[in-house]
Amino acid sequence: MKKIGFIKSIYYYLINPYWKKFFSELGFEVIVRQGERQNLPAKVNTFENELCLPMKYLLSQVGDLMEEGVDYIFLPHVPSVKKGVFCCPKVIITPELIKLYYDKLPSLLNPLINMYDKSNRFKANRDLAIDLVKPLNISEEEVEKACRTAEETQKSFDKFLFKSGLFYDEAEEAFNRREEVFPSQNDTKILILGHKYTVHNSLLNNNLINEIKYMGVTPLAKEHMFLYRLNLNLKKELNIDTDVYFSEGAEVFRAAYLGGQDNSVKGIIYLSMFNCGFDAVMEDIISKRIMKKFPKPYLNLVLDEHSTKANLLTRLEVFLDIVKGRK
Amino acid sequence: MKEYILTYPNMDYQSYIMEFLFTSLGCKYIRPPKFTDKTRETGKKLGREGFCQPLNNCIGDLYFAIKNGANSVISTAGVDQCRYGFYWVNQKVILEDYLGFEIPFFIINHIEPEASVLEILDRTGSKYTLKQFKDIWHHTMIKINSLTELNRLANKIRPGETVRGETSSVYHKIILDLIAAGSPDKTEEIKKEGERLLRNISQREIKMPLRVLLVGEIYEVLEPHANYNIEEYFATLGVEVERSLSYQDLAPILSPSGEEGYIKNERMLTGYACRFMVQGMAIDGFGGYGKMTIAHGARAKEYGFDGIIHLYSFSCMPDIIAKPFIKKISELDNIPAMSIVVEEIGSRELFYNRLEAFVDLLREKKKKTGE
Repeated sequence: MKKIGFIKSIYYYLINPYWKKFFSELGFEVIVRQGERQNLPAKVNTFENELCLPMKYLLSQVGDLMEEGVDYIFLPHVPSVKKGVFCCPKVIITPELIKLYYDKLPSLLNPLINMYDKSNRFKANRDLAIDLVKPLNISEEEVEKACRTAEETQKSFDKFLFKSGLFYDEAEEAFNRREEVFPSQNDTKILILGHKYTVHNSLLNNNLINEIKYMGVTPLAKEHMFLYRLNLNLKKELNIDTDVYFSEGAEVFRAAYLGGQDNSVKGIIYLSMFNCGFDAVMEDIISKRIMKKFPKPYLNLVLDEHSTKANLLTRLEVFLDIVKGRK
Repeated sequence: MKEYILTYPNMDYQSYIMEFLFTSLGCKYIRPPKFTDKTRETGKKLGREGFCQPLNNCIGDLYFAIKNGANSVISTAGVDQCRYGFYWVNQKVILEDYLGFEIPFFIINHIEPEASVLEILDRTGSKYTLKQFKDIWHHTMIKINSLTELNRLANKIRPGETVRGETSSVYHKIILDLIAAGSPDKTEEIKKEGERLLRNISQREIKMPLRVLLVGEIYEVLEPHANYNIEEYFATLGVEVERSLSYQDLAPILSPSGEEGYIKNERMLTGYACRFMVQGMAIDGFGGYGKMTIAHGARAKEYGFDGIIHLYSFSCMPDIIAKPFIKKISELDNIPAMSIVVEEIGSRELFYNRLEAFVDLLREKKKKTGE
């Protein structure tokens, strides 16, 4: 059985479980690298220092994946995962960056996933998949079947993630075990804003989500919110006459606004990555426009490979004291 | 109708060009005051960590322009992969919050600048005819092209000037006269006279002339306050600098050879970028000027440059990505290259020290290898 490696960073959360399911349906053994937080600064400091942590982490994991011994690494170019919206420049050029740092890579499967002007995600992914596995002598029928299963899995998982209130990794485990999960009834919810790979990846966010749970409140991500329910004209509300064309930006703004309105959300935390251009732009608008409209406790935590747990926990404790004190 | 008094931030002479364009078509306009350290400090104070230098500096410019009487802002935006297209939103929110009143922002779109400008003219209620617009637009394009050509010539002449500072003095005077010229013929006349004056500047022989290509993010390449006047400093070391980017790189329509010429140039650069990325990426780029940085860096050796200086701002995503590519180009093509984050340097003296060391390296290499 051929092994195909995935790395849990940046675009992983944007394109899965579709592609993992696709390859496992075709008989591949899917290996997912997560890595450890220990020694993270040492691991990432060989790479261009000013890149954000998720990017440096991804680059470091390629080496680990190669040591583990895989036949292929799935490394797409991902200019866009949604119509009219671009991904971050770093995500777009990932394979080229990896080739700069590594000489002897295993076979790379690097499709160009570009949904910028595509309305039909299933069709676009299927056409991509057919081209991608042509050299592997897999019939179009098998590919089509695997794509259908993958698309169904993606849709079911997105629903499951939304309903369960779990964060991605836990949700994936529960989903695969076909468990039934009910969201927490705790009425102190804290909305955690940020990119999907920051909020859902416990290595990159230094296990902050679990720490928040241990402190007796329920963390909530934008994936747990029905963002398009209300007829919310965000442009009008924020007096910003433009579409948000980048990287989960529209969802983050909507989640911030709806979280502000929702009485069961008692506080909002924005998790930024140090040197993330989009986090800086989004966080500024949220703190200046949205949080002024809905005065709730609000905290911006900036994370990087040097963030110490103790530092983050102190700030978190103070923030949650304020939240609980307000009840 | 409200009287709109427009403004636009400094980037080299861009604010002067905007002044010419909009005042010729009946708008009121105030240029931001000359960029100083106070502008930079104010921009930094109002901006935040995670905002790049161009964004912070422009906030500073706009703040002082508004203090001087402007009540609305022209900004530019495109939709590409980098966050630049959203900057005007951040600037608006920051300035409105700080100053406490609403500030209309009028946007010129990179893809359709003419249509955007026409819309601004309508919204500000200025009176113009379509013929006037076409004439003024055409005249503005002539001015922009002249600025680029004069800059190239001045950079060629400056290293060999006998009287230090003469080239810059002549160059800046011509530019201001050229921008103020009332007709295309007058503009052409001043441009020709400017070229004549520059070519007549007395020159000394430079023992080992060197040529360096300036690549990077467009604000750092074009704006002297962002790059500590790197062109003038290199000239004192006998080094000719060429800007890889110009105003024309802001929008295809600004190209001197028209859209066709722009496309041809793009194809040439895409070819160079293909040395390091798949064709799809090389064509579309990955945001901002990152692809241009890589493409220009990749052509530098072939075009006879002795070194590459890569300038960018802290947290500039596309150019942070381009940085390891520049390093690779330097190794593969055996051409010295240096990437500099301008804010990190913090002081003119430190910046110049690094440049001087770089030039020493270029001279040593040329002595040893003859390349």
